[in-house]
Amino acid sequence: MSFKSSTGKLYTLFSVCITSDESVRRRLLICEIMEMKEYRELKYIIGNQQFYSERLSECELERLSCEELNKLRVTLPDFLEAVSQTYYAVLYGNGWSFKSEDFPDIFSRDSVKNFLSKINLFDVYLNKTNITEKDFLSIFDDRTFKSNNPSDDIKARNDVKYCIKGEL
Amino acid sequence: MNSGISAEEDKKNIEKLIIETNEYENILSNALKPNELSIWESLEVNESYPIFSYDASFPDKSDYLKTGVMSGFMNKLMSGKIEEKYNDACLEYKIEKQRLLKEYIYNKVQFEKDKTERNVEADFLKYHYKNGEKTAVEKYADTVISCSQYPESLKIRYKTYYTRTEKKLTVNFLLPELNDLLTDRGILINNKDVLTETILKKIEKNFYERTLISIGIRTMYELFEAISSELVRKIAFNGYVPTNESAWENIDFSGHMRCIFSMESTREKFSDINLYTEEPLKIAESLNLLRVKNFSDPMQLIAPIKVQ
Repeated sequence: MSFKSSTGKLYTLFSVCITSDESVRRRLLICEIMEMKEYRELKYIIGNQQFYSERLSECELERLSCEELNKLRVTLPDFLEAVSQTYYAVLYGNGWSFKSEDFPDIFSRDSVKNFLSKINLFDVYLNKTNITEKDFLSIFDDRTFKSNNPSDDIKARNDVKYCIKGEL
Repeated sequence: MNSGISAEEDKKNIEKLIIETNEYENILSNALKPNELSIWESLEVNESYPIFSYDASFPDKSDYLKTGVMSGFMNKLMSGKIEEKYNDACLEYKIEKQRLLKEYIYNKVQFEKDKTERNVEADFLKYHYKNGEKTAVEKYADTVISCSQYPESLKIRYKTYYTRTEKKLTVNFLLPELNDLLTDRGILINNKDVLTETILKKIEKNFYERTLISIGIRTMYELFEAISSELVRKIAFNGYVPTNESAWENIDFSGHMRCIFSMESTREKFSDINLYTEEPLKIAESLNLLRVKNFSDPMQLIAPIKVQ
């Protein structure tokens, strides 16, 4: 479906009349991002997670400059792919190897592509994890216990989030 | 009756036609009931993908040792073979499980991707629909019409236009020509062996007009029921028929088709109508029906209700 909201249409009109106005350009970019299919899908997938409210919510977008918004618009499709694959990596891939510094920079396409290349879903496992689709970005949290040793005990880990490489 | 068709087949065809004819005659009474108009549910996916399961059990070493107890050299030789066999079975088990898990992940990814896309589109539509955005209201109206079950053989195409300022929805419907609707109906009527050609034609003409007008009334009813009164207060319906086959390919309601009837009603006026007891033609007349005299005459047409 492709349609613009009335707000989007209004700012499109403003931007033609007031070409140099930064706030109009910014508002138009925000409308554009929020109507992007990828942005809406990201909201659906991680809308309840801390990262979304801290970095991608409408309020947060309003804090960004035109340059940042432009970069975000370019990065979003790959970032959506990265986020989707992260969930499967936690359940069946190499999610147990992710560190906080692996989390991609949402303004850099290279950073997102680099992270995508680290995800391995070719070798599959049935990982032991208490992480769910509601909180899977916590895999990047250093407090989350991660291990590539399938014999690691999970019973002692009930109070923390964990992702342990599984066996077949 | 076709001489090449067996009596059994002929009987089946007639039974099928009777069922279909009844469906056509009940177009109005088969309109979706308010509780069946769960449009959002039809757009969303709520199912979850099943969890991975692999039924085969891991090879049990003791099963491989049950081949008998031997002593000395033979025992050593056989235990080496047994170990090898057991390891092969373990490897085979892992390879097969991995293959099935990969297949499972691939299918789950596709399922979740489709689910996300559909639910996001539904949310987006819902949000813009509630705000009365033109495209969203039109898309929603299209979904309502597409959810309505008509006889399988009925060929229809439609386009909806929403005017926010007037809270008006105009529906253009491309309907079948007489010949397309009644291809086999003559067989059924002929079977009764009591009808003259003139009476048959009259029955067909009435049936055709009644069907087309019923589709119009039913569409208006379902749209009034499904769309909030805050968004739509008036509905106009234009019934078109094709003037040639290419009309079905490019549905723009500008060429290759002629408008043969139109109706218009406010929500209040429509709420007085009893869909189940009143005759379709009588209902249509109360909805400002404008029509050509003969639906099948290619020279007759009226000006459709314009989209503002």
